[in-house]
Amino acid sequence: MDSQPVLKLNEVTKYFPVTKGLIFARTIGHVRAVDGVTLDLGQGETLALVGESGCGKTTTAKLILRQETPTSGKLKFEGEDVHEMTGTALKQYRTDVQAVFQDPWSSLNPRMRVFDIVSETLVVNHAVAKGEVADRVAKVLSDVGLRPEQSRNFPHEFSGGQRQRIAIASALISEPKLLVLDEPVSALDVSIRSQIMNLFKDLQDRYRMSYLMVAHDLGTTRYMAHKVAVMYLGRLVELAPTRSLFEAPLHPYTQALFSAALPSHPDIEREEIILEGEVPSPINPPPGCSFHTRCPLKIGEVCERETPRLTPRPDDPQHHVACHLYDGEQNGEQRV
Amino acid sequence: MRSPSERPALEVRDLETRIDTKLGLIKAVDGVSFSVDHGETLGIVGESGSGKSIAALSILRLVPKPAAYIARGQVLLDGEDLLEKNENEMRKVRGKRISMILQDPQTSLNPVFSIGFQVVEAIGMHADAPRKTLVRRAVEALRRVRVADPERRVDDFPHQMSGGMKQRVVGAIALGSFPSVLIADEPTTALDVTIQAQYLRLLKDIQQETGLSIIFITHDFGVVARMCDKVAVMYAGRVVEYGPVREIFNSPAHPYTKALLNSVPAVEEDVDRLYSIKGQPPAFWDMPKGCRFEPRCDVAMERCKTEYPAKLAKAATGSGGHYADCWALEEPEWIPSRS
Repeated sequence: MDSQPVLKLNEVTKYFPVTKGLIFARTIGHVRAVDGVTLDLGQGETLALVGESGCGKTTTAKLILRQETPTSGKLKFEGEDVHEMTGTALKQYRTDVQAVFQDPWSSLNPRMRVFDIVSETLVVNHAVAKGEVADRVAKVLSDVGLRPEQSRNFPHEFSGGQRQRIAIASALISEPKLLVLDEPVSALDVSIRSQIMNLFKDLQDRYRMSYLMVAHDLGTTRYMAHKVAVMYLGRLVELAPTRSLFEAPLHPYTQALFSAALPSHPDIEREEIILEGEVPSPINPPPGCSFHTRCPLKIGEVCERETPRLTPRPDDPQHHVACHLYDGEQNGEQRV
Repeated sequence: MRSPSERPALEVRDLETRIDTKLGLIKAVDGVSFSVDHGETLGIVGESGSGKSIAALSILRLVPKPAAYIARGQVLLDGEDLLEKNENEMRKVRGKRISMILQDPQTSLNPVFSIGFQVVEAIGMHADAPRKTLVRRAVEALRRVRVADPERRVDDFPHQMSGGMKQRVVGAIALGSFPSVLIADEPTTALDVTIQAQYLRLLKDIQQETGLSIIFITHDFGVVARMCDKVAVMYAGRVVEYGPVREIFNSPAHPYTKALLNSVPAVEEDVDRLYSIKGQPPAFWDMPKGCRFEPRCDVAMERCKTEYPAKLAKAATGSGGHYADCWALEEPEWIPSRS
């Protein structure tokens, strides 16, 4: 898409220590929540992180929002290290990056009026003159399809879909460049979901924002995202433009995940790939490829010994996969 | 009178469940009918507040008393009306002839008892047998829901199991006394994609082995497409469309069903823009006088505002049954339903 990515993650890891004992706690291991994730996100682009619970997608989102600090690796926003920022740069970052969460019942303060919820970012950051705040609130409310006079109401006076619109308005008001969306529609009713998804798309077209979306629903992912990163046990196993990923998934895990997706018509019969066992513990993940314990296409010893690197495909350099199956075809210089 | 083998396993006729709220008396379920045959799966699809869960709870007479009560209708289990039974008789129905699986296995299981204890307790409720026999049956029940190594797992506690495993244990409890009807209220929404697929396949396998009838309550058309033979679409307390699953997917009749199907993104293809239904469902204390979907409907007419549509049946499918409540349906193809 764009030459200069808005957000760049380079070999980011986050390990959480696992401790034993109450008073003299000692560390007995680490949960490798995020393990060497490298990706970038261009302007006006949507990247979806998909995977099952415990795969590290939410931790990745938290690292971007500075709710967690990485154990190693760098996150760069417009070229600057996110976790080194201080002073005005940090303030600017907090204006430029906003989030919308899953549950609009818990993300809005029930004691605040919509006006105060939506304008909070501006007021806290002293971003605009007092007189201008009301105009900005009215503008974002109409952007998300609410009436300006509804800003006097409290959250409980709104339905789920409208609350999510309020949450979006409060993220939009500081004119962010990047929105982190953590399962933004999964708590909503079916007939409301498409309204909100279409709203996100329209806002992106209008303001050229980038979205980093955490999702588990594959239909939503296909509709919303330009690029998709599939995670398993803290690692990226496949990263590709949405269409080529859905039309031709390469990693055995992605193939299994997609084969488990529910059909959109009763006549669609999918060959379901059955995975053996459950996701191994992230405390002591298997050596080599972390998927080898369940992989139906395991080639042999190399999978247990060597961690496969995320490598672009020779025939489609946008499509990256981390799997030894494709070792022979890989192009050595293009490693990411 | 039809012979017992032709009789549906469970039939709900004209059920009305009311709830007494601060804002007045509401009809959460308003004249709902559906049936499920032996070995068949019926999907009840609807959004939150459509009345689908209250309808399911009404079957087992588990609606929260005294605020909610069943005002009229019949719930026929093999021809017997459950609404005429007393509380003692009902207790012999629940878990023995009709079982239920709820959404969240975390809250269905008791964290301080081993899973073996909980399965034994459920089976022992309906069987007078020595404890040893009950334990053996519990192990068998766990094996039927594909819990690996059940002899050892019986001593495990819920926190030692994954979400998918816990939901299997809930399944073992529900199916332990071999009920003929299983009501599953969104049993897989709390599970991951691959675990959900495993669980749905398990339910289908068990259905094939035992001839179980399943009522699947869901908001997800994907689950319906994968699991169900028949579908009832609920909106604001009423079944607005009812029919065989392929009929519903290939030629949906009610504008609400059409809109819902068009607003779900598919995994299989790129969609440029999804349809989105304007507005939101009506509140129960502020129900439109005519068709309840009229304020959000693209094809609404004058008549829809004042009169609730008659139940129409699609002539071509005969009594096999594709019904819809909508004035906009074409005359010759859709005829007034006799039921």
